[in-house]
Amino acid sequence: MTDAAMPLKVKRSSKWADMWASIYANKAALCSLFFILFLVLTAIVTAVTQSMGIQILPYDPNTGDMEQAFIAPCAEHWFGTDQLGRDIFSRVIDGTRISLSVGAAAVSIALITGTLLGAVGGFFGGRLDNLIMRAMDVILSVPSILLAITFMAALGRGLDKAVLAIGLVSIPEYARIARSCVMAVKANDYIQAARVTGCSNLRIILKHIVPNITSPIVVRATLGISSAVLDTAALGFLGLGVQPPFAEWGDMLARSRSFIFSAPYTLIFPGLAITVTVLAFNLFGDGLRDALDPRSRRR
Amino acid sequence: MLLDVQHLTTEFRTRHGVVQAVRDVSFSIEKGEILALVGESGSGKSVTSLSIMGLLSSNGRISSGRILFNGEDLLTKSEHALRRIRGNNMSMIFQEPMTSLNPIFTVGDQIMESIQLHTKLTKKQAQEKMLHLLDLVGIPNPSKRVKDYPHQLSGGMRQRIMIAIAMACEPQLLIADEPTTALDVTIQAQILDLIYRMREQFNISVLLITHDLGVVAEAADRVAVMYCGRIVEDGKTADILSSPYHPYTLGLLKSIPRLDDNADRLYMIPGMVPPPEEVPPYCAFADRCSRAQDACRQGLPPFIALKDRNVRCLNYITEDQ
Repeated sequence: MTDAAMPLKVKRSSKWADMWASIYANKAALCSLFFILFLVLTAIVTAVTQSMGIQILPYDPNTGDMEQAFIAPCAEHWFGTDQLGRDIFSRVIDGTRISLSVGAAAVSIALITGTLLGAVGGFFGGRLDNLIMRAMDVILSVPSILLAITFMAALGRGLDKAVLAIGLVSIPEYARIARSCVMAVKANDYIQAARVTGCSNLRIILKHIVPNITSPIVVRATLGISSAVLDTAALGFLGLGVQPPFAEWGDMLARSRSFIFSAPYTLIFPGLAITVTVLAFNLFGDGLRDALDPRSRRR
Repeated sequence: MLLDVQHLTTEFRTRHGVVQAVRDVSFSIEKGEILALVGESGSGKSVTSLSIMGLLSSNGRISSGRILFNGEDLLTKSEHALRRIRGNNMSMIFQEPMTSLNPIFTVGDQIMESIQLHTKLTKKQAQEKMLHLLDLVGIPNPSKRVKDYPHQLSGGMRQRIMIAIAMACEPQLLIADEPTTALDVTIQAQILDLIYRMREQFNISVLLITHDLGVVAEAADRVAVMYCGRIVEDGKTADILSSPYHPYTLGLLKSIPRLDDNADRLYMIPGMVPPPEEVPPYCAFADRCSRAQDACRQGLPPFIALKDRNVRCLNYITEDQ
């Protein structure tokens, strides 16, 4: 096609449509998005059916039959059964709900608090910055899982508290990323230009700076979901997070570790669930980063 | 009188101690007047403009002087009140149109923000106003261009967008900090012409900051020449360009390369601009000046008021020389 044959009128669309077009062009991100939506749907369906007492899973995920323990994957038990004779397929599906909400909630807590703290510190600098960043250093100086346990000792046990603890200990990572990005963005003329038009500091931070630092933070957050799932498993393993018999991927992984050679399928399937989910979030995060930045949008 | 800067002194805390970037600067701008502030890099012209806007960095402060805007002293106003004045009553455009627009918002979003921050127009009215503004600053096909991102526009277009944002709230004073320095020569003339037209149309006053005397000649009504944080000469553009009184102004004019001159070498003012912490307590230009006398190194020369200008020089050049 020659230039003359190209349509002169380029269709122009809204910002959201531009972002969607960019994700749509990135097939990996698009597939990931569908997979994430599928997971969310699964989580909602299992939650709703369970609360109504309908069983749509092939077996009850939480009750086992000791005589059926350690059955290798077969037609009846697609993913096999675990040491207590529970159907692993049902447990993996049921675990979606807890694992997904744990990951999302912990990351949201860390992301929002960390970004705001880092942005405020980087923007205002001086004493406030020092105060915030030294507080972050204190958190970073203690191993995160130990700190999460300490938090839980104060907060009490339970899944919700575990999520809160994991969220709190990962705040510094986001704060550090946000701070360094803000310091770079702050030096740009358009921040001065925003001041000139009479924007308040809050408005400058929220409207002009935060959107410009989303890329690295989004990428970090998608990685953070995976570590949050694993951290929750660790806490669950110590009896502080999800309590038996409820299914949660990380917890399933942790509890079957002694059967890694005798019955590897007890680990493989929950592990695969975590891996694929994390991969989906990473790929989607990648696509989202490109879509958020007009300069790197795919067309 | 719209803006009256009186004895402004601005200083910065640095590792070398407190450094004065602007020293006892006074000037005024009438309504509808374009005043050019000319000087080399580091002469304090940008700091002067930031002092007026109240946007000095945290290590800078105005140590003395008054900045009267519409008769009110800006230095006594709260940050909140200043924020309302910025954008509403005074606006600013910058040197680098590449970086003065936010890269992740469409230009339309950025103009709308400025309009909606300061007026109570509905979204629809604001949009109409935006399109009108873009038309005014000479953007072809505005309803399409508003959906562009800054990186999709040329430098000249971006500077026009910056002017549209600055004009969004019909300010009384526009501060243009080297508005044409980063642009092509042909675009420079267009942007200057645009600023000129804005002045004609809205009767705004313009503080034009530049190091380029060509820009001055083209656009300004009056000129103030700055050297080492002080104004050394001010007066009407035509007077100063045709017969400079201060030796520094003469040096600047002689430094402009000329096509009709067959000189082998370009003229250079001998010596260097002293760094701000080493400015002498006497005439700062004396050590580079061919007309310097002993008296020039005795103390600071006074600002001498002549019939058509002011000049800070003991041995200024007179017309017959």
